[in-house]
Amino acid sequence: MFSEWALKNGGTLFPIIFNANLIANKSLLNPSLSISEDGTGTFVFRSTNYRYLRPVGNLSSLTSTGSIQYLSSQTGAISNSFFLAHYDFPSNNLKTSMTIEIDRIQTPLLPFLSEFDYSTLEDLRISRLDAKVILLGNIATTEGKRRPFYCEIDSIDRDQDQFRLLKQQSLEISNMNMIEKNWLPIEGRYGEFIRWPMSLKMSGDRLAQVISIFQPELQTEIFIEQPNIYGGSQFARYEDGYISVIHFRKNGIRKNNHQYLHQFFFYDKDLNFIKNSKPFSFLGFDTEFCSGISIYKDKIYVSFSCNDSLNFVLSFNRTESLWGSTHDSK
Amino acid sequence: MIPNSHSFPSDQVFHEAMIENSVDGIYELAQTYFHVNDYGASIALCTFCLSKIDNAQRFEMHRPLILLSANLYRSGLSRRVYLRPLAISLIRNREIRILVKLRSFQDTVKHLSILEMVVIVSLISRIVLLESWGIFPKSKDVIYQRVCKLIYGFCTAVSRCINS
Repeated sequence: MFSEWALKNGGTLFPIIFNANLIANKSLLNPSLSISEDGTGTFVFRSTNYRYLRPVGNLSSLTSTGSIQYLSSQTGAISNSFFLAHYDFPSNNLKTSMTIEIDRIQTPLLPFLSEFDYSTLEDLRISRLDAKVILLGNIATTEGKRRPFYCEIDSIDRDQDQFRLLKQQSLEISNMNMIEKNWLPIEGRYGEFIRWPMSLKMSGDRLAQVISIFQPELQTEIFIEQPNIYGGSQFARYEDGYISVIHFRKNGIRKNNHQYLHQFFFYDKDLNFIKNSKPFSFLGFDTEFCSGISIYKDKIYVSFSCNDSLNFVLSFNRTESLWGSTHDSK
Repeated sequence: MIPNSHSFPSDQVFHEAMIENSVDGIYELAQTYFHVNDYGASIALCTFCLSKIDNAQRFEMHRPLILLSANLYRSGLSRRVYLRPLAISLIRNREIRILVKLRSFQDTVKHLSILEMVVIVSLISRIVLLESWGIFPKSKDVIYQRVCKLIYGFCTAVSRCINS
């Protein structure tokens, strides 16, 4: 497991525990973390109306693939919003100093919702652009289509205990697969997003320019080896380029029983793929979703959830051995 | 530990429990989630812990998990999900005894050893497992309801014993 390797490399593994008032009638999962240079850590969590119950490990091959238990009176439809939390890393007293839940229905900043039959927001990734916090995800419609969702948040106002929304908008795309849900922001780069296996550039409220992020010869090699790459963390600045976590699914014994495996990818400043780590599992759960990576001082922080239930932050030292290490994927 | 706020537990036991498959550490963390009503997380940890235990001789390690499972059940969670993997872990290499004749759970549980608790849960959940595999005949719905009542009675009794 990768967590074991991380702990041996100066790492820590923190479960995130919410108090009862916050967690009532909802699940918080898929944390995406970004840490500013002054140590301000900001999370965005997916807030859902269901609880996912699933066997794990060597039991999963013998039992059902799990079930969904709805936590509110509304059943049969998954409903998401998103939830922001702020942690102060330098103090090492890792308590939430403030939280805010953005009400997507009440806000007047979403006029586009009237354009089609709105369903729900899906997994947001967080990033930073100067002093602003950037969120990028997608809106799924009841028609089964998805549109990218982009949000800018002003610097955190600690006195008022709140974030200030600057902009929310959906992005129009053309000639693109409309079901892709993994949209990834790039730290410090305005209007450029990754949507596997391509990056896009935003012009106004449109995504216009499509470029490949991979050098052609490497692109072929990677996608033959792992054809199911479809998501992961945002892109964070690292060394003289960027680092991200990608995931792909490894088929299990039973039908619809997959295991999520992950890899660190490193890119140069022009987003050319350079190198990757070995595939790994964080803790051995079948369903692990990593949607956050951030660099703070000499450590790498990744945030992930297991079985849509357990949220963790894993940190470890920056080390070149990350790329050559072999992590047991079981 | 019951956090008053959203927190990262700083106790080293949490850091290492997940890595070293420490049943005590994972159980403590599962209990913490239980106290803040985060039952999904608590269940995930219970099943994660059980999936790591292969040694049938370590029954005593299951005790806190059985008790926690009983509490989880009492909290209205899906009976089909958490108890089944629990039992699958427990019944491996075990001879299943016929203990379904229990009539008064409340009185019986008080006198059960941990091993007997394990066997009961094993038996009950084995039936559920057989049901899930489709081995039960057409009457499986009736049997399933009966099994569910059995599980409920057992878990209720265990829970009362915990609270008494």
